[in-house]
Amino acid sequence: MNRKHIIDIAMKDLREAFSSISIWGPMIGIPLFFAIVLPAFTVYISKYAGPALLTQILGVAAQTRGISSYELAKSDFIKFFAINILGPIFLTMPIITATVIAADSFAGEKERKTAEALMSTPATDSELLVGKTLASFIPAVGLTVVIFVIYALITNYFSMASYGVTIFPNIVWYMMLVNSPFLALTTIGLIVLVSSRVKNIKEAQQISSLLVLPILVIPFISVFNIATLNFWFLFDMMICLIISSAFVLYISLKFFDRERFIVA
Amino acid sequence: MYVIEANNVGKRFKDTVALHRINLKLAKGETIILLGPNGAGKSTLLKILSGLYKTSKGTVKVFGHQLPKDAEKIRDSVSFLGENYSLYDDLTVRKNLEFFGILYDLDEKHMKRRIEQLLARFDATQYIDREVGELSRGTKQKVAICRALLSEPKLLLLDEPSAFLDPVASRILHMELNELSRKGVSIVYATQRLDELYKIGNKTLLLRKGRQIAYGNVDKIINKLRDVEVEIITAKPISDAVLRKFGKRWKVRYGDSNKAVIFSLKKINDIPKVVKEVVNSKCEIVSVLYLKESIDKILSGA
Repeated sequence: MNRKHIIDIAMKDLREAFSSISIWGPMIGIPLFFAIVLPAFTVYISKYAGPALLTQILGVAAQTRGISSYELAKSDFIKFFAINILGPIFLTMPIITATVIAADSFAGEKERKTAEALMSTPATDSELLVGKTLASFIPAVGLTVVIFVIYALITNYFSMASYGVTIFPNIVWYMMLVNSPFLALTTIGLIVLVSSRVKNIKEAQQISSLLVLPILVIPFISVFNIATLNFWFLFDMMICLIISSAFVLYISLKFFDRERFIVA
Repeated sequence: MYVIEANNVGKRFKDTVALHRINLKLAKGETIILLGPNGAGKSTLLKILSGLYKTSKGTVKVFGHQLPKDAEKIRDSVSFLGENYSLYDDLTVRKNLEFFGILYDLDEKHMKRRIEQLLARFDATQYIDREVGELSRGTKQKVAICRALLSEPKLLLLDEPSAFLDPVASRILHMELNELSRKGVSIVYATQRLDELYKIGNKTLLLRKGRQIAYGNVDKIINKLRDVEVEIITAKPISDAVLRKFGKRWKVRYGDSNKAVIFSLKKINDIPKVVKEVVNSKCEIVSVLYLKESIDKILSGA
């Protein structure tokens, strides 16, 4: 594989994506909104919610952790909420961000009628696929890391100001961060594969949303009390994601067909 | 060894036969014109020759490599310009050309020099830092041609490259292609414009509904052409009396105005006679054009 070709393809896609505010605006704005508003909202609830509501939430939280509700203090509530409820939401960030650019990767070339020229260049199938994947991977993971850090800082600020305790970083937070590239890679691999076999971006987005749905469930496993979001759970999840991303990339490469891509 | 050897090439898309038993051979430095109306199969044939499409029947060898199996081996030496500009609207002309230059492994300094040279050749230097989306159709086409020529390919596959070009840019393109041909570059040039046969081709392949109607040297093919429509545009209006005079010898009618007269001729060789008669009638000729619309008739009569 020619590294220059890969970087060239990825940089071109990134330039195109970031040339339009309609693409990067929501891609950055929505996660940023959640990173700032959600922690503030959590602290607000924990501080000002009425006793009935808080008892109810603490009850649910305690049940999820297998302990009785009186063992949970208000500071525990914010900790629980920040890690187990909001954490997984931020784990979906690489998926959401990746979907925007990845759906455009090949389908966009076709829609903008640039596919034939690109496909007739000396870039190999693997260079095209890796380049396109990279163009979605870089902003997805970059943005996730930035959002995770902002989220952690803001949560710490509010919890410190309200209860004198900090929540992040902790091992679960680190592991979520480590998982995000693999989560992004699996998602992107799937969407790029879809994008190379459909007629337009809209179709790519629709099919991708369906395919990505099961992946979106993964972060919510702990929310639904199917498993506890701890180091080992996230470690196992990482291994599964590494295997699945490698598998998806292998399948994409095996079934990539220039004629089918142009004619579809 | 031929640059292109295509034997009995057929292409089918589901129930549609796009190409049927096409044969052609192209040597180094030769230019072949693929001539035919819309839907004749010109673009499909070009895509097969570029390795983008697989054949349904027959074999294609480019530089001795079997296609599409060895398509990767020829891509460095081949440049394909499709019927679309294939340029990225959100990127500047420079970024577009550099993107393709890197994919063809051009040395950075050489690539930059070549981009400037090509844009200057097609009088598009002033657009180098403009986004492609802001350019006119003609300028986009010029940039697309520059893209196709950038990698200095040994084989050029061009699909109606003169579309949207003004007459000056068309002439530059033809001159550039003739120059490349002299340097040993082989060219496959698809067009609907009959006049381009005279300007660039050594060989021609006439296609109609995916079938090969005629194939050979340009002169031989031209002599076979029948039912040609020629439009002669004059500086001043042609009177009804003069038109009637022409009508005694030829089948004539006014074009879009009374400064344009359309002659329907039986043979292409009659064109010089028509021009002579118009000049003798003291009409100052501004231009002589083959009518694109007549190509269907020409091909059916060839």
